[in-house]
Order: sequence, then C-alpha cells, then structure tokens
Amino acid sequence: MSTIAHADHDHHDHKPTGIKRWLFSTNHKDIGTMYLVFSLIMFFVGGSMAMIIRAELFQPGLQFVDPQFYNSMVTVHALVMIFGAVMPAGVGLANWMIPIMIGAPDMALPRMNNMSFWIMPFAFALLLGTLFMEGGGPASGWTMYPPLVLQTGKAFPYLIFAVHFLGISSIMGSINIIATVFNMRAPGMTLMRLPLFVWTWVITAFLLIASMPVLAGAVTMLLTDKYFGTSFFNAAGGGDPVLFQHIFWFFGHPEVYILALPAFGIISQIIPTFARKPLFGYASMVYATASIAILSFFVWGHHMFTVGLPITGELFFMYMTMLIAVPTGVKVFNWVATMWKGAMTFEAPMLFSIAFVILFTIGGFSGLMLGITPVDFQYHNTYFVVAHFHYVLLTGAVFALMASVYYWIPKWTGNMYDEKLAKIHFWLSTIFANILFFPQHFLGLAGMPRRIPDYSVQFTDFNMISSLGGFGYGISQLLFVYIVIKCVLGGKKATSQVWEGGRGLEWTLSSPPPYHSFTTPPKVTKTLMDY
Amino acid sequence: MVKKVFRNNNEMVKKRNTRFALILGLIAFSLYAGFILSFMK
Repeated sequence: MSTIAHADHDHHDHKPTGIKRWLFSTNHKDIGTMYLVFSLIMFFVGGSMAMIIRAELFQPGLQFVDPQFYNSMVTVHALVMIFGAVMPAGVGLANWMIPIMIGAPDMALPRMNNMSFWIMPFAFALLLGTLFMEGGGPASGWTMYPPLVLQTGKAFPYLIFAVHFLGISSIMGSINIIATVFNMRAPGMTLMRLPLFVWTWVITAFLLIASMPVLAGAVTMLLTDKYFGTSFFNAAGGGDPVLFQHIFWFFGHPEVYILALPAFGIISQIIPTFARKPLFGYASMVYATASIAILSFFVWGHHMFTVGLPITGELFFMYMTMLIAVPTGVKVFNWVATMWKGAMTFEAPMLFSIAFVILFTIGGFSGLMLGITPVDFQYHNTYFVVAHFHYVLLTGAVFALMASVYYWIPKWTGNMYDEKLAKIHFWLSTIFANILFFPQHFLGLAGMPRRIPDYSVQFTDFNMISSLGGFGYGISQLLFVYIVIKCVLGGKKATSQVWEGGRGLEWTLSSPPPYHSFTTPPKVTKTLMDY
Repeated sequence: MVKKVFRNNNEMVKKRNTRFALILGLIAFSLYAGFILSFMK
C-alpha cells in the first residue's frame, strides 16, 4: 500500500453557485465536468450524423439525402467526433484527474483553463452553423484537401476559423497540463512515480503543442489561397496541392496518437486495479509511450502512398510505420502480463478495458496491413481504411473513455453506478460495434470506396449488416446516458477507496472529493503502484 | 525542487507557471509562423 502522509482536505468547501459557477469557473473539477458534458453532447451530435450515413448506406441507390449533404455529414461527423468528442473527453479527464492524481490544488493556470474550454462551444457553433448556410457545410472530408476544399461555399471561412479556435483551445489546454505536471506535483511524487494516465497526458500535450500549430498553418494557407491570392497549394500559381497533404498528415498522424495515448493511460490505470497487481513494466510503458510519440512524426507518408512518392520515401515511411508496432506491442504485452495470474474481477471498467486491448489490437493489425506500401495500393481509399480507424478510435479510444467514466464516476459523484446496466451497456456496445465495423473490412477488400452515398449492388449485404450494427450501437449509447444520469442523481454511496485494488492519491480523497482538494500538499513517500 | 516550490508556495509557483506558459506558447506560435514562412517563395 502506498504510504501517503497527510492528504489534507479542505473542509471550508466554498462553492460558487448558479450560472457564474460554470461561466467563470477556475476550478479544475468544474471545468473537467464541463469538458465531459460537452464531449458527451458532441458524441451524440456526431453520432446522429453517423446514423444518417448508415441509413443512406443501408441500401444501394440514393435514399434519404443528396450527395452533397451526405459528404457534409461524412466531413462534419469526423470533425465533431475528433475535435468535439474524443479530444475534449480526454482533456476533461485530464482536468478532473491530473491535479488529484499528483496532489496539486488545481491546474497551474486556472483562468487559461476556463478560456480553453469556453472557446470550444463557439468554435463548434461556427462549424455546425455551416450546415444551415447557403451551399451547405464543408464536404471535402475532414482532411480538407485542396483543391476540393476550395470549392466549399460560404462555409469555408467558418470551417477554417473553427479549426483555428479548436487548435488554440488544445494548445492552451496542453500548456496547462505540462505546467501542472512539471510545477505542481506533491513532494515525493517523482516523475517515475506518476500514474500512467498522467504520463500519457504529458506526452500527448507535447504532441499537441508540436502538431496543432502545423494544422493551423496549413489551414491559414488554405484561407490565403482562397481569399488573398496566394498559391501555396495552387498549381497554376506555382504551388503544389500535394504539399497540403504532407503538411496535413504531419499533423494528422500525431493527432491519431493524441486521441490514442490518453486511452492507453486510462487502460494502464484500470487493468492493475481490477487485476489487483502492479502494472507490469511501468518504466517500459513510459518509454514506449514516448517512443510512439516521437515516431508518430516520421510516418505521415503512409497516408499518401498513392500520390506518387519516390520509392525511397515509400520505403522509409513503410519501415517507420512497422517500427511503431514495436512500442505498441510492448504496451499490449504489458497489459496482458499485468492480467496474468492476477486476482481479476470483471466490473464494467475492466470489461471495457479488456475489450479495448483485443479490439484496439485488431485495429492496430489492420493498420499494419495498410502500412505496407504495395498492399496499401489496393486498400487505399476503401472501406478497409474506415474499418481500421474505427476499430482504433471507437473500440479503442471511445471504449477507453467509457471505461474511464465507469472507473472514476463513483469518485466524481460519490455514488456507485448501476453495475448490471453498465454490463448490459458493455455487451450491447461491443456486439454492435463489431457488427458495425467488422463487415467493413470485407467491403473494403472487395473494393468499395469510402465517402460515397451510393454503391454497387454486390456490396448490399455487408452494408445492411453494418447499418444494423450502427443503429444498435447508437441506441445502446442512450443506455449509457441513462446510467450516468442515474448515478449523478443517486445510488449506493461510494467509499473514498471505491475500488479495492485502486492505488494512487485520488483514492485518498473522499467521494466526491472536496471542491478544493490538496490545498496543502500531501506527502507521497513510497511508490503509488505498490500492492 | 518540488518540495521547495510547495513550501515557498504561491508566488514562486505562479511565476514558474507563467514562465512555462510563455515559453510553450512561444514555441507553438513559432511553429505556426515558421511553417507558413518556410513555404513562402
């Protein structure tokens, strides 16, 4: 058991009330809650777009929407899910958990924290507002490749500014996380004692600071190309449209890890708790995370094997992509080794975590297939790619987020969630997610292109199965909302420890923790991973 | 170092936090501007 001397709790728990509490909040727990609620709302906004996509693809031919709107749905679904659902959920968890995991009273820069959050609703108002504009929303795909994206109507500047704002929000959030972890740790909380969730977030924050400005630069160049006569990406003016793809994916691949690394951190917290064993290979997990982050800046070319890269470039990006599988393999091995001979129990967070390990690995393997240059020439731009990244992002990142909510919600609310319903939610989600995405591998291998509202009749059966899975998955998530609301409103009281196997500073605080926690720093005298 | 920061608390921590924010913000902005400038002819 970790030896933690004097985890002080503030008993003068003054809390602002009303709308001001949320508008002007500088409290990491409140801001974390706002991020999480925002993310959940966006999850359903993006999800409803996915339902439109799957309804349209239920049968060949055009059923419900015109192709332009369909393309808008594909584009905005991706932007909302990436920038509005998964990223803010990660930042919300970071806000809630990092200060109480490292024994800090709050985030390092609380006012900036407030601003980081409140930029986001405005950014999404800009983005979602475009759907109601003349010419419709952006329909070029989330990658915003020119020259196609330059054909966007009135929505274009709104899209560009929304991306800028989201970038600013993410960078400010990252600065805050780095400053918090480096400056605000409790005495005795050395770097190599940090919970893995904190480590993965620090590394993610560095990734964000290095990659987001590149995206911002790319979209600024798009803006000046369209409105100010520059020719960064315009071949007629001496520019090169492929340059945009290089710049975009220089951001885009690290972005994948920005979504995935916090998920790795969550899983690394949950598996030891429910296996009642310390995490296997803690140091190797930290180094593997850092290796993945560094390597992620050298693999962008695997997204553009088919644009006509020089053969040396294609080989370079292929080998670098293969190399990323090594630290990722270390992680998967360590999670499995942590479970090995553990005294495991299978509550909802653990079920989601085990599903994550299996299904994320499936997504990883299909990623390796796509990373092999000659093979990618067949798979490129097919539904195989769609299946791959949904295994990584939905059964990967989103499943980890679901696991984290079930894991920490008793700490946040002071109430236990309904375990029986949570297990039903887990099984429905897992079964339907696989019905939704597994057939898409076959569609892709058979040659069905992505981002099309209509398709040849031979693809009908798998598309129908996929759509049924999609509707099932969508409806199952309403159960998640019900479980969360039920838990917030009441339920069996949670102890401060919550989970028997939980280790770390957060479990020394009451459930829910006081509004101002660790106002005097706790003293961490021994490793928190100790069992 | 961490202990010292906490003992001396607020002002010193605040200064360090602000310095961190400025340095990291500057890095981010340089990357943004540098990227655009490097592609200008």
